[in-house]
Amino acid sequence: MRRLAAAIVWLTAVWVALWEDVTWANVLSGALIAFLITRRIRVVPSRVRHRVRPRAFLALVLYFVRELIKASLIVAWEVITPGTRINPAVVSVRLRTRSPFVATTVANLNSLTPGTLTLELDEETMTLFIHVLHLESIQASRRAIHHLEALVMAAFPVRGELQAEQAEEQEVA
Amino acid sequence: MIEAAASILILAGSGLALIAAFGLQRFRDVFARMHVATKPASLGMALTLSGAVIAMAGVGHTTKLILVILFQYLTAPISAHMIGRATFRAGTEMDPETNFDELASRIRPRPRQSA
Amino acid sequence: MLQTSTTIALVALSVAAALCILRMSRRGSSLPDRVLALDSLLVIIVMGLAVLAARTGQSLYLDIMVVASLLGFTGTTLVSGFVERRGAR
Repeated sequence: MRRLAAAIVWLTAVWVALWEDVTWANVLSGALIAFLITRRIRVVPSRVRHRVRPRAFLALVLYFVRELIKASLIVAWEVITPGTRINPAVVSVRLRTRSPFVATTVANLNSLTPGTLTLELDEETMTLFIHVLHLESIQASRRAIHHLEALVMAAFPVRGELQAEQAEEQEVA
Repeated sequence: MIEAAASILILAGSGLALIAAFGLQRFRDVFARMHVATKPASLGMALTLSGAVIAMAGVGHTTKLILVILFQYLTAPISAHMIGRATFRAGTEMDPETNFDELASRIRPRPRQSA
Repeated sequence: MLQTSTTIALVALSVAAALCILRMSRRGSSLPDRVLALDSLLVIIVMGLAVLAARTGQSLYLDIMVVASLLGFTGTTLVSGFVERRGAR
């Protein structure tokens, strides 16, 4: 129920921001449309509940921005200079998390980090398949993904019954 | 001063877009092209839109630009991933030098005769 | 200074867009190639609209930008689903 209310508030805010004019007409029409949308499209709650830790979240955002800039520069350099240093590979990485939200976030963020592109995510075994452009070693690529995953897990700690398992996994990691 | 900052950002973004377009022509493997078409394009778009936000700061209407940047960052990875997944599952020809992991070679579908 | 820089930017974006269109219409390209080129083209269009908005200060372009980015994402996702089901020819 709380998710539904949050979704309606967020959609109304986006609607009002698009009209750029905070009047009663805008807010009410936005709320009505948000309500109709959320009736048609189910807001599916994730199987595992998460909190957000602001400081770890900020660290994740900064890491992501830095990696994105590095990625674009590496690719730009490859395009400009003649000859090719491409060593393509498809690597499989076993994720340590059990929560689909964390796996999805890692898969999405990974598409924009240097040298890797997400191909498949196998949900039962939690295995991520990535395509690497410049392959130094399989271990190095796996390490990078696990680093990203650790940052995401730190930013969105699990709340609920999986917490003990997650804490164990984080200690092992 | 504001104009200088906005100009630099806009030029940098456009340069990245140009690099992305060149990369599309230059690389021979479809997945390499995917790398080069999505990453500089996203960063270039963020830079150009930020430059536009700075340039239009006095005029107003910056909320829409910020919304577009936000939306782009939410959806660019998803569309990149969807194209990659569709191409991989459809069995397109890949660069013959591609190394495959042991696990990966098991799930790879047999490539069809494609252009 | 904004005038000259936006002019240069628009020229660069036009060249990039032309390259994308070239890629899309070449005979040897496969379907994922064309999808990729189309997605890049839409990103370039959105960037061009932003540069125009910065240059002229009109807010009309921003509305078009919002719609273009939405349609771009939706289109790319739908065509990717189609490619996945049909094969890459």
